[in-house]
Amino acid sequence: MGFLDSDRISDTMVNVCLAGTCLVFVLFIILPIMSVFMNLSLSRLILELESGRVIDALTVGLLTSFLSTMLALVFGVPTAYLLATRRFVGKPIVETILDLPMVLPPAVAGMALLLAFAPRGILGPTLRGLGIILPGSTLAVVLSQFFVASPFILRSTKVAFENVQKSIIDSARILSPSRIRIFFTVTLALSTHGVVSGIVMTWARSMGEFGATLMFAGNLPGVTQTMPLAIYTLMVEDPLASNILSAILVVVSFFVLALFRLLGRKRSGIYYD
Amino acid sequence: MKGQALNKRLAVALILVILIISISAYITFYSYGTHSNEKESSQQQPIELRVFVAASLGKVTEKYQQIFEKENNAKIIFNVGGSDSLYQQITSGSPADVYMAADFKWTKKLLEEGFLYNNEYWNFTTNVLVVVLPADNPANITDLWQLARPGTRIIVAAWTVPAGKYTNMTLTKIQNTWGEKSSPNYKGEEWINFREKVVSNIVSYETNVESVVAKVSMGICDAGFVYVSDAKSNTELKNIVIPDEVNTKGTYGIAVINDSAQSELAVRYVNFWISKDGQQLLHEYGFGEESAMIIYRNDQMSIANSNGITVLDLIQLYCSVTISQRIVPV
Repeated sequence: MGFLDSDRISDTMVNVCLAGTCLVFVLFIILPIMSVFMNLSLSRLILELESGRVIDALTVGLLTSFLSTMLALVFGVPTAYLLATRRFVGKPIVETILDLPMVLPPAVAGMALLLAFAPRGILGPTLRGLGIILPGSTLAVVLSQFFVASPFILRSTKVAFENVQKSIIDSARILSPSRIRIFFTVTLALSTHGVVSGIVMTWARSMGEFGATLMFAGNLPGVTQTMPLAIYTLMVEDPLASNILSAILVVVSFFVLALFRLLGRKRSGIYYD
Repeated sequence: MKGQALNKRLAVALILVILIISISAYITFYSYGTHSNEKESSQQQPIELRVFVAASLGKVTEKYQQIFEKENNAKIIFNVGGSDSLYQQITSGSPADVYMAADFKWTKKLLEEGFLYNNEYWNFTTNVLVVVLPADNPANITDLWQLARPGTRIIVAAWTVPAGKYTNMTLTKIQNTWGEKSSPNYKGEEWINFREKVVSNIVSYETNVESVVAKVSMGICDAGFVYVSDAKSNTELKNIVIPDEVNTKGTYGIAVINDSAQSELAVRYVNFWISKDGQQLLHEYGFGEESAMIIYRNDQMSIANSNGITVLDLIQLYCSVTISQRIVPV
């Protein structure tokens, strides 16, 4: 045990250990991802795109995840601001409730949504009276995604807002009393990274949402069949289509991640010009 | 001294990491180990039998589970799902002992790909379709043609799942038999383009037939296409009978998988279902036919989609009765 007795483990040793762990991690992730791209041919890809099934899934997936992310933004930013800057009775309870969907298994979320909003659910008759039947509609997909993905933007934005120093806000108030102006030019500007990160996570979770969507919204090509649902449905019937959809999803995710990194770097705060 | 404390911490951390990895690896491979080691298990330890069963057989296999487990000192682990999904899992290497599919096409595929023990599967029962409605019948459906009315919400199984495949066939038959002016059985205008109209009313393609049953009973839709066995098990649901001339009879397949470590036990399990007792149990749950149910080995005489036994079938049967075929009068 010579090396344990020495005064300090050499830097090289530590670096090797760290790099080794990292390498295993990277290999484990990259192997399945690369396998998705093997056995694919461009001609088959074009054929699949023309078939409409892939386009349908892409359209539904992109549209619904966009809408649910926007919804999460609209509700999430004000809520995060409230939680970050105000104190009120029952705040911990509210925070726990809003965090719940993140740890809730998607199948449970689907079941819960059904019990609340399906025609026989709690709000079912009310919705039916308004002529709205949620299961089977694209709106149901958006709601399922919003339900499971909203905690991401909430957390991220809340932490970002919390990190804006009060002294900066106070200084800004002296210069201009307009709250809206301060919010946009100071608070939001300093929290950009957190907000963008929240948006990306929410969007990614929405794109990948499967269980709750299948249970609540159902599986209807062109209406409620998102990418993950299409991949699963086509797995036995048309494995190649399933494979191509997976590849497309990987590429799209990759680009979004790259975009996020780009945006993050540019607006990382007062240190860069 | 500081250096030594640092080394100790690093050593502890390394040991912890190695421990965690090895425990995870052990747990992962343990499940494979048990499966192949059970051959030498003692009398006391119940033998595990993995049965991959089609969703529609869920209830009837559950009924028989305890009896089999007691009689054979076994423990059955069910993997319930759509027959196509189960096929996928078997061909991907998931360990299974028995496979019960709602369409013998899947057991046939496994046979052709060499997955079956003794290269055999059995066509052991049949099932036909029925339309079920929620208990309160919100859309006031009393007849099949109303399913084509715009605005009716219908849920079916995906076309790749046996129940969905049969539904598709039935819808096509209805359109061609009752909705085709040139057809001798033309029944009227409301049946023209029946299949297309019904398909435009579908709100979801479920991954297995039990999900359809569940969603109908939850009132999420106005009607669903399921098996008569499901209608029999869910008496609170109303149903509309689909006449034989347009209905589709699905033939179920059962087989022992090749790499099964419990082949003797698996064979015993399969033998129950093709025996008189098994057939009777199936019949109680709505499977099979009124008259004699004929079990076929490897689908040697396919009567898969016919409606009943014809004289020709009986003649063929007489001519080729061998040890590998059995007749089970119900």
